[in-house]
Amino acid sequence: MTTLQNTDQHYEIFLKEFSQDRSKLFRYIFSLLPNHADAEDVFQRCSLVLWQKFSEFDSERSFFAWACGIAFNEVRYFMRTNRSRRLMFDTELIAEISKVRRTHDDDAEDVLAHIADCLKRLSRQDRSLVRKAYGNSGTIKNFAESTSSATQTIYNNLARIRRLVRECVRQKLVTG
Amino acid sequence: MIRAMSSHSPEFIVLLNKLLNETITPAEHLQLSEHLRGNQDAINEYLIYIDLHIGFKELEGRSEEELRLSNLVSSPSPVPVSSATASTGKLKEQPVHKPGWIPAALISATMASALLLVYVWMWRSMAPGHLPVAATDPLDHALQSFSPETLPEILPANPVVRLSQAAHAELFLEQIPGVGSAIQLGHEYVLSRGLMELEFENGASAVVKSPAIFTVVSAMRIEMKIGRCSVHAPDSAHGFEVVTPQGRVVDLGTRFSVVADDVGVSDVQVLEGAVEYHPPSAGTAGSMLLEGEAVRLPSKGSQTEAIPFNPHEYQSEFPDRVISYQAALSPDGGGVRDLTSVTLQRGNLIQTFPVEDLIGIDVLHFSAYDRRNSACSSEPLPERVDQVLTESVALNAGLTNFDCAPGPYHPPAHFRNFRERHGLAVQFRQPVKNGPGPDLVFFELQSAAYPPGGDPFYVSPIEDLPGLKTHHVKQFDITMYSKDAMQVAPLFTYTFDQAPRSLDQLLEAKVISASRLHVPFHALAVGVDLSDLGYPEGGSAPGVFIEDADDREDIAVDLVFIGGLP
Repeated sequence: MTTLQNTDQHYEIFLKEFSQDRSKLFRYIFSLLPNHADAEDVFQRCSLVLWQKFSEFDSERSFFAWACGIAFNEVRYFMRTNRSRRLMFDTELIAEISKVRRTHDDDAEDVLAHIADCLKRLSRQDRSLVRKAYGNSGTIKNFAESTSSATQTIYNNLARIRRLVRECVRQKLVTG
Repeated sequence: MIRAMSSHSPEFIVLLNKLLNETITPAEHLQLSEHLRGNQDAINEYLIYIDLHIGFKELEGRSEEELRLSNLVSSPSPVPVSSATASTGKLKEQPVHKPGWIPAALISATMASALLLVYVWMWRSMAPGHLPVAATDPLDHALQSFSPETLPEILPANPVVRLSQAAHAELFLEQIPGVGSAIQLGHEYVLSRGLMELEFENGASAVVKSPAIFTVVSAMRIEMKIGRCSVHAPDSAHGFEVVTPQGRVVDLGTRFSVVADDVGVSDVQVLEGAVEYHPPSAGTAGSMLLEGEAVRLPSKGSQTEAIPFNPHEYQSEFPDRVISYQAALSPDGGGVRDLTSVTLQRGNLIQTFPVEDLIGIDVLHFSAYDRRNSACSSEPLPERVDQVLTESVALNAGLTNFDCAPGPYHPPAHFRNFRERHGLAVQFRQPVKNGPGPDLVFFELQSAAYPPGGDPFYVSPIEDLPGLKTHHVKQFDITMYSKDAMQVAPLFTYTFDQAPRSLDQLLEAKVISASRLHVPFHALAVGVDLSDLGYPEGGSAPGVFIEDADDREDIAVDLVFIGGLP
């Protein structure tokens, strides 16, 4: 059990900031590296670097903006060391994506709230497929290949569901 | 040549879907990159699809976790708080909580010296798909708005393979999934310690023993880089395969084991039925291996050789231990609070004991060498502070930090003189009989900054009889390595005006401060067999004496529940 006598406020502040932005940060990294294994690798590394450098963080600034800057560098480092064995966007393109993502970061939060709402509107069958495909920690590809259904049928149904939810989200964004 | 697409064209959407499915080809990836480049509309659409993908993943991962938590409340043998409170006897006679306790004091937690553990903990507890410690983003709020009537629609699907058992298992840099949870397909697991049993949807089961590196590819195939894998494949799983670097073993309805070692050979033993094995050099042709036969598959280029059959290579039994426990969510949120039941394997039988059937305790002695933060709870402390352990089934309330004096440990020369030592002595409200397997259960609190296997401790008899001895509990059965170690609701640690050197001092000590602990704590559990204390089978123990087994200043066992098995 933690039993040290003094409160480490530094750690607590870091934990608070990190907890608040962790999902956003992972989404940011995944936007640049759209592969779960890669994004998780970078997210882990980035978490450590954020903690190591937290003493340099200016609390007057946005933690998320600071974290995105570090994450971007970690993504570039990952790309340099793994490019030969992975499909990745190039540095210029990820800089473009990063810029758009950070410009519309508040919108992304709305989109996520709408996704949750739109998921509830799916038919039971579609919801079940989403749950099976996304409910465990494997990739969509692994899931599709592990079922008895035709793999392409799974992909087609997931594409249809994504389009449905995307349309539902679009309507919600329009109507506010 | 890159063909032009609009930002909502079917071709573009197909590429996005392939990207998310991880089935995109290099040519398609290049096409997607060129379409996104300099095209803000396309990037916006791309980001929405990314958000859909991550949003699905987060929501489905979390709702499964939430359902797991909610199922705790309606577990097969739940013990409602009210009924336990009304119970008249033992922990049998233990009311659950006494409202109206008086608050006190303060201590807190630092983790500055545990950078690596902080990192591992952050990664594990904050990676997407886990319940956040502090849920603050809109997705969390949206999820929390799910009404109860929508829950039946999102019941977890049957995974292709799930973890059915684990014993003293540790995975490198990740937690053991909870018992009953899905095993990730395509993920390489590095089992550094212990046993895991995997149950496939087609009825096959596989016991993997450490050290092992394995990947479950599908319901019909497991790949073993190294390690021991014992398979039972019934007719419904005919054709189940174990693949090693030295070849492929195909089930023909049987029990068999495959041991892939790290020097480049794989041994196959058939306990029942038959298998077909395919060494890499044999192309597609296979050879049959029958019950009672064994073969060694060498690296490519060498000859397969028959080896003596050894039925003990087949692992089917798991050690007696605490398998899991059940606890009710705290009404205040943030984790579980009250233990409701504990499930153990005793003499190869799996039994679940409701908490009110466990034999309760009274404290005989409490002494800490130096530490003054001797109690914890989410509630104000009771007037008689030892009741935080004896009259409560809360897993976030107990007696803590009864540290030992620095220096090497010397077992007691006379067990009955436990009052002369630092530690915690308890008496059972009825003698605990030495049955098969564990006879006592201990629960302690742990955070990610401290030993993930739990704080080690010594347990000794409180009586002097021939053959009795001290037992060293080096590791808990349910550890921080497992997702079965539940996060408990937030708690306070209480500091007294002196380090209590006796039960009387503990009862008379004044609380000078209380501190809410801000890091997550989990409840670990371990079973102790009275045979390990020297009691004969059928003998009984009136109580036990517990001592800290780690003389590092910041490590001490923190017990929140002790019970005897009936």
